[in-house]
Amino acid sequence: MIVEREVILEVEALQKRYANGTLAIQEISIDIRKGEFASIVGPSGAGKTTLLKTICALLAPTSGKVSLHGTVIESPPPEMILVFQDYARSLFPWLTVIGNVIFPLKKRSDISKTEKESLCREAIKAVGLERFTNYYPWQLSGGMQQRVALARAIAFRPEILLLDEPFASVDALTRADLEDLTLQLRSDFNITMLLVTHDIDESVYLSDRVFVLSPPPSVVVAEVQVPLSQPREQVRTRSDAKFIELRNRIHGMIGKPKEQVLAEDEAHALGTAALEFNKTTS
Amino acid sequence: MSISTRAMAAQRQADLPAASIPQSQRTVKGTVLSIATVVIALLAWEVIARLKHSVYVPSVTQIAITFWHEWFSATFRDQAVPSLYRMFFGYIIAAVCGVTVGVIVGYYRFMFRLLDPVLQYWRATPATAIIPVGILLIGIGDEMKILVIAFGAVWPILINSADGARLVPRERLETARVFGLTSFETLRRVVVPSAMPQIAAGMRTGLAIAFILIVVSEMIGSTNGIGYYVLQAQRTFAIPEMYGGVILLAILGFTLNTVFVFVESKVLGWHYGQSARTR
Repeated sequence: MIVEREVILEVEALQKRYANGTLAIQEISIDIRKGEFASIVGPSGAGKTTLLKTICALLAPTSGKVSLHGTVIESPPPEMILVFQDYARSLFPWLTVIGNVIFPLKKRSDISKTEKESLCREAIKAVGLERFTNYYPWQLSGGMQQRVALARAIAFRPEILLLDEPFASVDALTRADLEDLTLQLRSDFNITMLLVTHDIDESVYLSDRVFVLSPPPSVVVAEVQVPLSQPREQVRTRSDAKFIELRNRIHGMIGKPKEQVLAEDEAHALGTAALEFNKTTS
Repeated sequence: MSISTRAMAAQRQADLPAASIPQSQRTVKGTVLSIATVVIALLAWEVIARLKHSVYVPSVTQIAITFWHEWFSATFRDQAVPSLYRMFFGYIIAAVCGVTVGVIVGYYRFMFRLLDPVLQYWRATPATAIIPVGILLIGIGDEMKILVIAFGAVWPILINSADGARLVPRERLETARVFGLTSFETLRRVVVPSAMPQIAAGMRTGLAIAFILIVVSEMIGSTNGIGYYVLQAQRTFAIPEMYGGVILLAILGFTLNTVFVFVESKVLGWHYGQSARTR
């Protein structure tokens, strides 16, 4: 069911040690394929934000490398845009919604002013804020502010969006709205998404693939495929037996060292096999 | 649907104070009270002055008449205009240097570490203390006053600009980097606007210091200017003239501050809107 698409982002043996000597990321290797929605889910303090910032070259890795289309990246590439958790700090309060969205496009000389404006209008419409273009961010609710941050990223037309717990600071209903909006944006604009979150349900709901992190120093303890049908729908998807099984499985892995997860997974596989065997023999 | 209703509610809330009637009534009442206080104070002065018959305390009417004759004449050109242009040039120099250097110092960490001891030293020095130094080095001409004003007013502007530039939220700077802004573009398009509230606070303090310095520097070493005029009037027993000069200074100070606040509210409307919302 899952078609193997070309790998566009490759993280190889990435290690990150903070300046104070703490090892945040032990070794992480992941591949992101074109058009997929991938999540990295891990406990609090697992260095998720650090990982994302290192992937987009805001931080330099201690060792290992990140390649985009086969080229190692050393400064934030325009094809990859990070959306921060704290919209109140990442939006510019002296600019209106349209001012914020057009901000990154201003410096580009390859497209005309009219084109820039139409890119912005399209992005603002896509997040449903077309009636609020002249509002300042602080005049909007938290969920709306995060929509502005998403619109700003979309208008820039990146290939990949990196989402750093973008829905963590909003209420549950807004969160569900934003999750569905993100899925919509992904299909409308054909963007590859990489989300980090501590919310297992969210990662399963949104993703095609989930990478589970160990506690720090982080390693990927498991890569879980999410074969849930598309499009996802809040109530239907979340009550699907497969969804519940996946979330429980990830729940069992999270916060555990890699050896234990591997051992348990093997036991689980053996158990399933034994069950299958019993079924066939009886 | 939920988005539009929420924002409309937010907007209604924002409009509320201005639109509601009790608020405007309160403002009218406040204005009446303020005027009453001034009138009562002036009347009290007038009564005391007339009862005491002291040369040192002329009556309000006498001061007002002198004020009219002195300041609505060539005296304004000869005494007030020099003060104003010295202050203007000194303040402009302070503002340009203070904001430029301050923002750069705040933005580049190593510059901040390098210059912080100097900044702390000047922050602690009373601005008036440099006037004798100024007279010693460059005499009592306009240059001395302009430089003394520039030198005195530059520190609060510089220190506040540096603080503003240093305390830009990290996410804002990282956002700029993610979108590929160069270091200079980030400085101009992110750091300076972010630091504007602190820059304005520094410029307001700088304006007050510039105003003090013009008066004191003219009192200590000058042949004209309002400060010179006030001190001369006192020394020659031109008492109503002395009071008139003090009143002119008060009026000028008030006007400068009002203009500053007005411009600030235009430039920093976003900041006040935001703080009002989060309070």
